[in-house]
Amino acid sequence: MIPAIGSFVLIIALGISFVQIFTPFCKNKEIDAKYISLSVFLLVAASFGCLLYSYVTSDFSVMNVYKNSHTHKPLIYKITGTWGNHEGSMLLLCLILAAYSFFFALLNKLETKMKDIIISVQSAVNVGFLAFIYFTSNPFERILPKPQNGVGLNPLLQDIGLAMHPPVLYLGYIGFSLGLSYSVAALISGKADRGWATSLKKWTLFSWSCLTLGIGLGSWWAYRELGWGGFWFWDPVENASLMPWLVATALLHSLIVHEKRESLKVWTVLLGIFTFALSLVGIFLVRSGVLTSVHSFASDPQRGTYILIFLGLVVGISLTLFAMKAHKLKPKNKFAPFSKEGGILINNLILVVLCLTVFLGTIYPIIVEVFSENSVAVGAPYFNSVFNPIALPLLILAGIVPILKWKKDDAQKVKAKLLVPLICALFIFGLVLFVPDKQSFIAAISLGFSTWLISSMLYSLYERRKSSIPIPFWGMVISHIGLGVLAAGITVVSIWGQEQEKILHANESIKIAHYDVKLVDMYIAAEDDYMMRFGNFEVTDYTGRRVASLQPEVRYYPVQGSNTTESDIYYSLLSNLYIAMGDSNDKGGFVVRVYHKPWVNLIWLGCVLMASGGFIAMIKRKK
Amino acid sequence: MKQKHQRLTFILLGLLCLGSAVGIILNNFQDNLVFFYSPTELKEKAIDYNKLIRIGGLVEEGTAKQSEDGQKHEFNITDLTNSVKVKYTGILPPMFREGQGMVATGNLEGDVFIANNLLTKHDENYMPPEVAKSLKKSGQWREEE
Repeated sequence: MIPAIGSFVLIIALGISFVQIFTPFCKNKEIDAKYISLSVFLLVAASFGCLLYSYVTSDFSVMNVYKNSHTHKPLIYKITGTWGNHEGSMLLLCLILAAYSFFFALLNKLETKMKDIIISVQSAVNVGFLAFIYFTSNPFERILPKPQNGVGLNPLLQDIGLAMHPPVLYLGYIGFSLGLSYSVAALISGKADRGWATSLKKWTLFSWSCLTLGIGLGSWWAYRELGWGGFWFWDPVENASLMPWLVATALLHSLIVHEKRESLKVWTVLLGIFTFALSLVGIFLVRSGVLTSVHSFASDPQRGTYILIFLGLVVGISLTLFAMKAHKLKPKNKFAPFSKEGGILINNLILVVLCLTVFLGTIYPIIVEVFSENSVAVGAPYFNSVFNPIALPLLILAGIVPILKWKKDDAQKVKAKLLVPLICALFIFGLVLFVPDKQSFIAAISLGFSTWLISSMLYSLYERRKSSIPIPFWGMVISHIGLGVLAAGITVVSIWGQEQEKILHANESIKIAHYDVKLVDMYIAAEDDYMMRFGNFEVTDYTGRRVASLQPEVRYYPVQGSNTTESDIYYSLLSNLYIAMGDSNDKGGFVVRVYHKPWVNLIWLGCVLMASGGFIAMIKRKK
Repeated sequence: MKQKHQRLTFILLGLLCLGSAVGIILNNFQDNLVFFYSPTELKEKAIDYNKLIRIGGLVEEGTAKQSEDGQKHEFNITDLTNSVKVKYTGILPPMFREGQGMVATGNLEGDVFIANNLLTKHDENYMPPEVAKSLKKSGQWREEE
């Protein structure tokens, strides 16, 4: 009964959304748009609630529950399992989209004409996704007869980091639908004024911060759960989230120019369109199964085709509009190249080029596959050697541009402001260059750049100490420092990280960095839904002092017949000592992998700082 | 006139950015494209020994061996028509089993494939698309269900 209701309300929501594409343009509006949006939101929420209910009560007559759940699963993973699969996660996506549309209708203060167009476009996107769910991936499909028990959730996904990852990520992806709607509205109405930019900037800040957090969470999950101690693999699915992030970052910055100076209008509108288009590309890459990836748990060509058509429609229609109407958006102000606007424009160029390099590397294998018999892969070396050198100048820019003046700045004055950061950066550069035994030129450059960025931001706060600092400025400073922290973390862990792999018997040990890791003994144990083998490890530092005892596990899930590696990590302030267990050999030895990950915590800290900066910048200035 | 100059500067700068990026990309593509072969293709095509490639198929039943210390592994990857011997040093991924689909990255040395990375999937029901393709090519693919 409940699943039938879930399916039924979904189709009603689809119907109402379809009607709402046209209602804003009707002459006599008897019902306010926000009530219509609210009804769609409530209906999708009800549908989601029905699915959640089916999961919690383990109703295996629902195909989706049967395939992804099991009575032995802990309640928390029964709940999060709702979106731990293709259909459920798409329903979650629709719920978030409906929520964005509703909150837009409720909160915005735009003029009526603009608002009407935006609501109409949002409804069209709603229809696109609801139809996608209903016709290609209905979560409420039934099986008869009802099976006794379910197949269970992929054990890799039974992790709190991953349970939170999709909702947060979707809050990012889907928030960009407003970027598309605002852009289309600007093109149709032929104007995009300050209010337009301020309003879109808020939504973009929120979605961007969520996407940043979502990517961070995904990376943190992969780091702990996949057992190779890596935080970024240049996996196509990771790239799928990175591309919209890069363009959204560009959009955010060009919106600031738009808001303050009313220039770069056409560019902003174009970025608005592309940010959402790239979110759709991301969804296509993940959902169509065209790529080999941990994430491609549902591969169905029909779904891929659907999303591709949807993407084609969105991009085709909005770019046609762009070509016809963009000339109407005239900039109000001109500016000199050496100004804040100029700097932001260069930042935008670099971000877009970065996105292009990721896009090419991700899409190229698919193109080759389509046009020839060959299968190719573009590996991490490509991305590392192309992405990193182009990204490094961003650190420099992020340290300079915020202290430049709008319109036109004086090079002499700027030089004086940059003296302190320059000295700090050179100091760190020199210091790193002469680290005994561990010299690395690349690390010196990269850490120098990070220091430059962080010290320049701190110095700009110091300079403004006498005047009151506006809240958005705090947000910017925190985000930029986050970027510097992130870059420093990535540099140190990739260059000075260590890894050792050895067969250990009881009482044998591995030496790594300044630690000594000893396998004391091993146990086998059973839990509700899995069996595990864990090792007791003792970690001592070079003085012989015991610093930690760690219990990494290998879990075997009989329901799915699969293994997972539960690494165990010793967290010092900045660095991690990371132990993962592997298989046993014939003679009672265990394969043990130990990683020393210096400064890796800075990566997560950087992500959190960047996202919090974004949220802080949303806070309204007191008038 | 001034504005025109400015626009020109920006356009040139943009082109320069784009140009150098495309340059770096193309240059790197040359070295970093990793081609995929099925065991049958390995037999039929002449393959450059120095180039990194990927191969995929099933781990052939009854061929997996490991050395005394458990570090060196040998097994055959098969598309059920042809098979190729693979040598690998290191820890096998957790889902490594005979009969499982897998993708290996490495170089060909003579008749032996020296793998430096093995990829299996974390889920028993999942078949990497490359492996499925490999089996389809050799005509050994059976649709399940």
